[in-house]
Amino acid sequence: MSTPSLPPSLPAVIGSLPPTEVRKHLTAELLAGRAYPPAEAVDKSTTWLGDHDRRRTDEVRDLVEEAMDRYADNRTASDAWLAPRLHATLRLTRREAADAGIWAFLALRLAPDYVLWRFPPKRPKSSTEQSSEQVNAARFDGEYHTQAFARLWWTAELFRDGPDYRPVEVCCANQDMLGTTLRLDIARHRATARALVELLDRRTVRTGREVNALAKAVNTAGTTLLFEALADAGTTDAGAYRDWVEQVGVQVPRERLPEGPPDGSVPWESVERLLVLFERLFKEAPVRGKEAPEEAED
Amino acid sequence: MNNRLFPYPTLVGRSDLEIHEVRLDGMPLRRALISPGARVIALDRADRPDWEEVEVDLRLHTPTELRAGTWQEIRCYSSLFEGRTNSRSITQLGRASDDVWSGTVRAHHDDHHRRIELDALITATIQDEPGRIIGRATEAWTIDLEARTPARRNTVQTIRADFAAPDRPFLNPYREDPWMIEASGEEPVLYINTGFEGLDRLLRSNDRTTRDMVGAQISSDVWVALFNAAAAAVETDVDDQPIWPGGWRSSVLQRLLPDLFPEHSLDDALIEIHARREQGEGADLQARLLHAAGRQARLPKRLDVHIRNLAKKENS
Repeated sequence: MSTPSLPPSLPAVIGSLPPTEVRKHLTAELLAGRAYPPAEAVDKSTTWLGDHDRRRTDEVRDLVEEAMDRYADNRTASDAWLAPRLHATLRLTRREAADAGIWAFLALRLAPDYVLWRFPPKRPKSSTEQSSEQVNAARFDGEYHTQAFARLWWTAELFRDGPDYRPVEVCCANQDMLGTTLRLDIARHRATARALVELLDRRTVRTGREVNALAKAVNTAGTTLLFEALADAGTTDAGAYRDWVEQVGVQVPRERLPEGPPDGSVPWESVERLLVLFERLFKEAPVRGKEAPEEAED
Repeated sequence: MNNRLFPYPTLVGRSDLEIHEVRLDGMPLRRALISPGARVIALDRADRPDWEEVEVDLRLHTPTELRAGTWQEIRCYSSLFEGRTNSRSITQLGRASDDVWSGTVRAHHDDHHRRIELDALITATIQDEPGRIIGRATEAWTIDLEARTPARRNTVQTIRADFAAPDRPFLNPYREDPWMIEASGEEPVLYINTGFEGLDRLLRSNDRTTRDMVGAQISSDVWVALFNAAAAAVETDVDDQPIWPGGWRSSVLQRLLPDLFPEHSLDDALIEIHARREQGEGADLQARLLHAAGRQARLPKRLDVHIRNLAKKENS
């Protein structure tokens, strides 16, 4: 794939693109990786967020370029590096992150090259011979669990343990944990998310199929069991999160993990209580093709 | 509880969630902004747009069967949930009297975007398994962060605009159309073309039948557009099973599917539409969809009235 050249100058701050505009830019040319959206037109329809250090485009751009550089040979592995650092660089509240227009801006204007690099155009699964190679448009404009940048930010937000991003790294290292669990209700309870990652870290679950079987079993159990009643996730300190968001001039480290918002950690007793339950649920769960070797996953 | 089979006894009677007081940063919210009828708490943003925390004092009235049953270690909780911010929090309620539980739930503005669902859950230990859900509030409440008056909100936002206006370039290609539905975003929007001559007069017409007819037509179009957008957003899991797309898309599908496939369960109907779309058998689906959308828009009834009225006029 020949890479189209990026539009030269980036605006100083991040903006939000309205959905009607986003759809206009999702052209066949873009999805095939042949052209980026016209920068001028995108800028014209963008609502700019107030000027603030945490909304500067250059830091995000630097970070994304470094991810592509570091992981040139292993795109999938870039998720574990980029997710915590993107979260620590953008410093959004959940309220702000709920604006899909911000994610669309990052994908269509700030770094369309990253989206095409991370999810190279390919033939759709259920397609005929004639259809050409393209990127799933949802990588630019999809829901939080599919959009190229939103998926990383939300994984970091939902799987971090207070300031500790290590569970996020573990989660991202398994594409099924990231892809399947993120969209399920169970990812919305900190202690549950923490326990799921712990099972991955302890190698109780290893293959993609095992992870999927576990996630499914836990999610199903969650329809009749109130996990919050079994395992208190601890209190979250909204003020501490806000203070962290407002901190400016923080250099996000490249080698070691950054520090996330110190808004409270999950009590370990809660995680342990859930581990016992989830191990049991996993033992009882059917795993597809248990003996089969694991397929290469995207 | 309804619509789901539980492998253990659950509550049958009503559990009513009553809102006692709502405070924004400690200041009580005007009573008029709490509507028990619509079960909506409208956080009037004009008064206090920069509020940080909302507190809700509530009571849950449980049916007497809860005490009469064999349930052990009964607990009641209140939950706050918003899908768009992936925010969910649970607060345990204390027992105020035999059948009344009370507590205060808190939500932070930073964690919420538009609408928070306020629900209650009742759990018990069943066969040594603590935390089994045996009941929910019969009707959940909505904390609406944008509403000025507490009304059950139609999820389709309506914007009146001249489609030919230069400040709305994305509407320009549709300038000949009376209305347009934008269903690709986080929230669907219906645009009414004020530049379409006569449309506004029809919509504001004193003749109720005419007004209703146009309204029903728009409504039917909206349902069709929303359904198609929602169906297109259905993805599959690792086992190639379709997954509910979430948000308004799930609500739209769940509302229309029973009319599209009355013989199927909701989950089976989802599999059905997904399979048909995959196999390119969309024609029959569209016919069923028009039928379902018409029913939602109450089109047959209105058309019927309209025809009768026309007939009356002709005969008179």
